[in-house]
Amino acid sequence: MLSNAFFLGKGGVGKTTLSAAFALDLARSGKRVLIASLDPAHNLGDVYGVALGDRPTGVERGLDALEVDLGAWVDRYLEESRSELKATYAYAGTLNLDRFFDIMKYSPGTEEYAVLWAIEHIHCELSAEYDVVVFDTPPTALSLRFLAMPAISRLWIAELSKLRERILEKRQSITRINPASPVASSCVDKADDKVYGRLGAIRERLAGLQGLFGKESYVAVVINPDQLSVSEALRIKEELDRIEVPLSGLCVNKRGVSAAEWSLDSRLSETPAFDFDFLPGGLRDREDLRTIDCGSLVADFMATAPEGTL
Amino acid sequence: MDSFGKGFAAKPFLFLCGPGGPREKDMGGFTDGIRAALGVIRQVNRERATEMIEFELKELENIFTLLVIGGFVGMPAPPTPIAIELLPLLERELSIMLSRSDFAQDPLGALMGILQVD
Amino acid sequence: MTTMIALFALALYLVFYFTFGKTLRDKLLKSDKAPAAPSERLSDGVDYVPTSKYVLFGHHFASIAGAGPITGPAMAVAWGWLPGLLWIWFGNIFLGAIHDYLALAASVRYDGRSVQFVAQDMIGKKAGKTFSWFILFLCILVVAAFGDIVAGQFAADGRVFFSFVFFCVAALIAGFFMYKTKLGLGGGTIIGIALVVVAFIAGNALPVKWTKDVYFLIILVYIILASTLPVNLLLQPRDYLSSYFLYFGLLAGGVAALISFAPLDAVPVFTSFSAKLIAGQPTPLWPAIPLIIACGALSGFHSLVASGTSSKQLRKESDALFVGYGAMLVEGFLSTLVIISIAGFGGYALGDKLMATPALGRFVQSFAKMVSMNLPFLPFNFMTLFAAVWVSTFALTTLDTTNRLGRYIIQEMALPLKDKNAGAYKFFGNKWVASIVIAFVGLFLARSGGYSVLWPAFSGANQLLASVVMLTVAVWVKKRLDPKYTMTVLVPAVILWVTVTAALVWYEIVIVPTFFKDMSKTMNVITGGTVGAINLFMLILNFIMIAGFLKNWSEKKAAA
Repeated sequence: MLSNAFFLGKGGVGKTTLSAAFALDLARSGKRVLIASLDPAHNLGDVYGVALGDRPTGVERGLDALEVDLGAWVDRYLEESRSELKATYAYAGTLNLDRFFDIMKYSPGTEEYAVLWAIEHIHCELSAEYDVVVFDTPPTALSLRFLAMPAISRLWIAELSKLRERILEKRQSITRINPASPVASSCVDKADDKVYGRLGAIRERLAGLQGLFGKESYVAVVINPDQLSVSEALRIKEELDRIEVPLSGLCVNKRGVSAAEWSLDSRLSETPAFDFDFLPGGLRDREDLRTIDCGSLVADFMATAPEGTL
Repeated sequence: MDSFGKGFAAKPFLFLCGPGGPREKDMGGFTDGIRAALGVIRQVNRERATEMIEFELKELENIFTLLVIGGFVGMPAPPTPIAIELLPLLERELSIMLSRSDFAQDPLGALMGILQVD
Repeated sequence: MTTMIALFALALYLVFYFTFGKTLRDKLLKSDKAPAAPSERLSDGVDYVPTSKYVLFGHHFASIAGAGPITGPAMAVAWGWLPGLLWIWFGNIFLGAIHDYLALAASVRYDGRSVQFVAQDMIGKKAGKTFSWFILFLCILVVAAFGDIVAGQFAADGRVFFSFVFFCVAALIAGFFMYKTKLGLGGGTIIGIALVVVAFIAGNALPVKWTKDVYFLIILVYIILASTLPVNLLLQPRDYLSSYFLYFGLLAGGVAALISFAPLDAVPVFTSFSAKLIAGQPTPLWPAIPLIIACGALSGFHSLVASGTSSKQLRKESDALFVGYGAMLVEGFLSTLVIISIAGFGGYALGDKLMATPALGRFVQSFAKMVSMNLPFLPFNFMTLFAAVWVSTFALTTLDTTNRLGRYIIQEMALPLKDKNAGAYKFFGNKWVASIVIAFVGLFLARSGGYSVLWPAFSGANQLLASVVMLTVAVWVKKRLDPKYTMTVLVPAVILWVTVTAALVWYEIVIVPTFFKDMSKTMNVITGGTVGAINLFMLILNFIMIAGFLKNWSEKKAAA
């Protein structure tokens, strides 16, 4: 059985509800489950009827939940760099640095990285206590971005590392021949070069996350029974294929909400699909979640095995 | 010894040698002079053997820095967080980048020197 | 006699260095009161690195020494040995060395900016543009002149080609050991020099007899390929090893000249004012001498080299005398040796055929004779091979690097086309196109022109560049230094400008038409057209520049 499950989908398709029901089912079948909401909308607490924070809160036996505070993660992430910069450039009047970093919050990539480090934190610090970690993700756009981040960054980091190696090699070459060269002061071994080391550390973190997404996760996409939703699912599948993250299951939620014609695209036919009927009565509390039948989904999940084992 | 026959390099030696032959102190000064001269020759050789590579290195370092933090000036770059993480460690690279951007305005002279055009 | 001349040259240079040079430093530049040099003020551990003046001298001298100071004087003996010598001595002292020295000093005062920048500031934007055009034409003409020189060397002495090829292999191997292994400089150098000796032995044993055309083709391919290689592979190690050629040649030649005591009778003191030098035409000593002897007396290239890295590394401005003025005088001494060897030993080497031999062959044979007769442990056969490989190596390195430089210049100059004609910009901006244009055009000219015609064109462009620099320096002295001394610089600058302009006009009127004598020879016609057009264009730029100069000259002293 894989140890992670991700629920992707557009806003409003029922990700939070389904992931909550799924987690509850798993917990009641005897597994120790942690469900983490990465969605800034933070509906998870409402669904469970429990106030949730940044740390795991017990919902019931075998089920803990938390809502990731992305803003705090962004700050925490930037603070590390900010204090390092402050230390290095202390002389350069960093009075304006804070304001600068406020802008950095909104720069492309920061949010995705915050999500990644939050996931990494959960994976490294918390997941040992649990059998399964379920992730309720933010709307598709951000999710695809953070899922792709390790793959995209890998190429950059690999090339940068190679270039850095060449630079270090040349510095050594020059210093060996001409110790009086100004280059000599920055000539260090590969093992001692902080930049190369940092690039390597980043590469390892990203490789770890890439492994997590690609080989240890059950990725389910939640859709509604309409053509728009199906197109969206197709787009997501293509993107996941591109970054080598397997799509494990399709959850067709709110079946019967409308009588309009729709069909599942043939390209999605390989993916196991699970139906969830529309509940006209709506969901009011935790026990209402039991009315959602996750049986087949849970069974499919438990039948999975981490890549490389059987 | 015919002084004319000694040639250019021997002129300092002639100055140091008085009519009574080289004295102990003069010999010391003379060997120091030779040592200094050899030191200069050695340094010139070292620079000659590395000047093009040093030039190339500066350019590589410039490119590396541009690749990492180009995002701050609108160039395609790795995700900003990676750039921010590496930024504090790139002190020397940043000064090279500034130096190169200055250099790029007026490279003709340095190029002609490095490229040995003559 | 030869010894006398050599000693006289040394003494002359030393005297003028210590009197005239020091006067310039103390009275004109007032270097002791000058602001701190940029290497100290702007020290950044990257380009602005204070360096000992001895190291800088060696470095600067090695940069400016090449095949130039050898070729020109070898050609000039057609006028007799005295005129060339006088130009090398007094042209150097009053023009060339000052040009180098003051360009270096001006650059230092301008925080290490190149002399092109200074010219733009002093004479106007157009002056800066003319620099780019001159350099571009120089790149093409250098390829033309040096291409023919090298092809001629290869064709004249069949041993040279493979000696050079094996020398390149030696450089590749030595480079590997020096840069990729822990062997470092000492070990790499020993390996390199050992392999060079092997290369000479091997080349000596493998003479080839190919036609000049074959060599032209080989050189074309060589230029285009070599200029695309990374510098650490071939260019850097070969450049390093070839500096040992320079040391050895200068040392052996200097010592041989000083102990030779031979009469200078292989060539008359003075043949005629209008000896038939260029394209078989009577060549008037004035104004054409700068077209023959460039480097060795005066070279525009040097100002760029000086204002490139040297100015950023001078520890203090007063060092500029030693580096700028001094290095140029030593180059003058090298040229003096060339003339001494030909005038003193050309007879022993070539007898009656001396003046009939192409200039470089003259040098190779005479130099080898001079060394082997006075230093008997260096045999004649080895010295001829050495001298030929020495000149060829420097020339071939220049061919490689000029191509790289020319590519950059073409791309820079094509930049304005970006908005107006994107297609043309893409075409010229393509590095292969730029590379082939320079190499092909250059070698085409070489093949049908021959260096006796193309060398003067190259030299003229070089001297024009130098005269722009001299005029720039004159304005600088007037506006930024002490107007009292303006005449010291202005007078030589004006004399130079008048001479060079007259020389190029003469070249256009007398030499270029010789290409069109026989209209059926299309190659010649095309060459003549190209060279004539380049020359004309340079003359026009020259007049535009002088107009800018006059305008700036008469303006009131600008606010600092």
